[in-house]
Amino acid sequence: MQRALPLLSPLREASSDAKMAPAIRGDRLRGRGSFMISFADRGRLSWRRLTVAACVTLIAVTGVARASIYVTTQLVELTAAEKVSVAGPPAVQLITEFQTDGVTNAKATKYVTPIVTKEVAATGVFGTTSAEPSAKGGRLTVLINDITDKGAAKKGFAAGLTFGLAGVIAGDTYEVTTTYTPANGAPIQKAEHYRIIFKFGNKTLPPDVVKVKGITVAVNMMIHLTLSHALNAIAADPAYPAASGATVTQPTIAAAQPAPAAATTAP
Amino acid sequence: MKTGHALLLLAAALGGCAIPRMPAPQPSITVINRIDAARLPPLAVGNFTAAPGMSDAALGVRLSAVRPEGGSFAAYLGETLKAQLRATGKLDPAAPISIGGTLTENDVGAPIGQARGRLGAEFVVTRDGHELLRKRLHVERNWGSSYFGFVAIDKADRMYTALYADLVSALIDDADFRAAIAAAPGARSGSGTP
Repeated sequence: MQRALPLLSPLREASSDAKMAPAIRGDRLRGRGSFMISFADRGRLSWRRLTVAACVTLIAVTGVARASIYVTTQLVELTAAEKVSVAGPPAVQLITEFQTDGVTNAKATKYVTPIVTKEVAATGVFGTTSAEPSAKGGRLTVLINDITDKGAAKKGFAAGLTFGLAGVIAGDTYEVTTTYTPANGAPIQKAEHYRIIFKFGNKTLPPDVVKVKGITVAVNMMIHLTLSHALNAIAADPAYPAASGATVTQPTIAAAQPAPAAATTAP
Repeated sequence: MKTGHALLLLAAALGGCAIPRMPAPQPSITVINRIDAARLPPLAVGNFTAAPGMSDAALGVRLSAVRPEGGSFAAYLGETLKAQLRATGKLDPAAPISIGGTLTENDVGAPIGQARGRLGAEFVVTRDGHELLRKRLHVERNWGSSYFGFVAIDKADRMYTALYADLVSALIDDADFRAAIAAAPGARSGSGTP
């Protein structure tokens, strides 16, 4: 659970960091620009008020820790008939980056990199992967952008404070952009979206969600489903066989589909 | 004394959150694409040190502190540059052109409301020990900072760490840097990977 911390949006941060709060020691009070120092300097607040404020905050934060986690079901597991079969997949350099609202999140990148590497290997669309440049195989980049729900921490705080009476639903949208840049040829890029939802208290959920065991499971599902779909789409791209040197067998479902109708032109 | 205890309790609630060290720098997709586009020759990365009086080991954020992997923010900047060059096949410790530098600005603050992080360095580009370029570059990020310490500290840590890739990106995009590299005797543009 703690390993997933870097991915957390404000609401999830509230739930996880609440467990870390008791570990705070006095030596941490050396920090500069401390809210506490400026707060105390005002000299208007009694210890009773401060204690009440602390207790209220702790109750609210602890309450948020009980949030349930759901994922949307728009993206489901590919069936065998939908999967592109690749023979002789190219070795590639694999670069993974996790962003939060478009800004690089170094700790989350470190967390997701081995998961992404494992998922890429599992698809069979690419052969061996390495962090170093691959002279013949090109480069595969996976950019996961976590678009957070603004104000989730405030909503979660209110929910915790009322012990769930003020229910709240918040969530993050994950935009996963996968780009294969062959050694020779134009890049092939596919994007997928996924949503992880947090519910606390009395609130009705949207119909297309399913509950999962925890944030780690949700994040793993997000990476697995978005990557398996994106990489399958890259393998299905008409440019992929020539760019990669691999032999591709198109899925039976795609092969059975009728050819797209010819474009019509306005009279 | 009672006030002190209350302050400590409130600190735990609002300002308390231990930050793991900044992880070892990883390649940024944006930066490596820029390095590819710049078609740079192989480069070595020299020493990066902190200017006198500069915070090089830890920066306070509310009741916590941001600390770099390896213990030095200046060295972390050098490692960030190495990570980007390595990912593009442009890092060569034996290359005649080398980039070093001094950390000249280093600050992050996350008070309630508006937070800010700043990072600056004087980069020195040399070829076989002869100075080709000496230039100061600076990057800055501003963001909204939560009342809740655990939210504000985590965001400050994230935004501050991102400044390192920003500064490397600023160097790669710098027209003087590009001109100095291009004018270096024997400098040949790389083919770009891939």
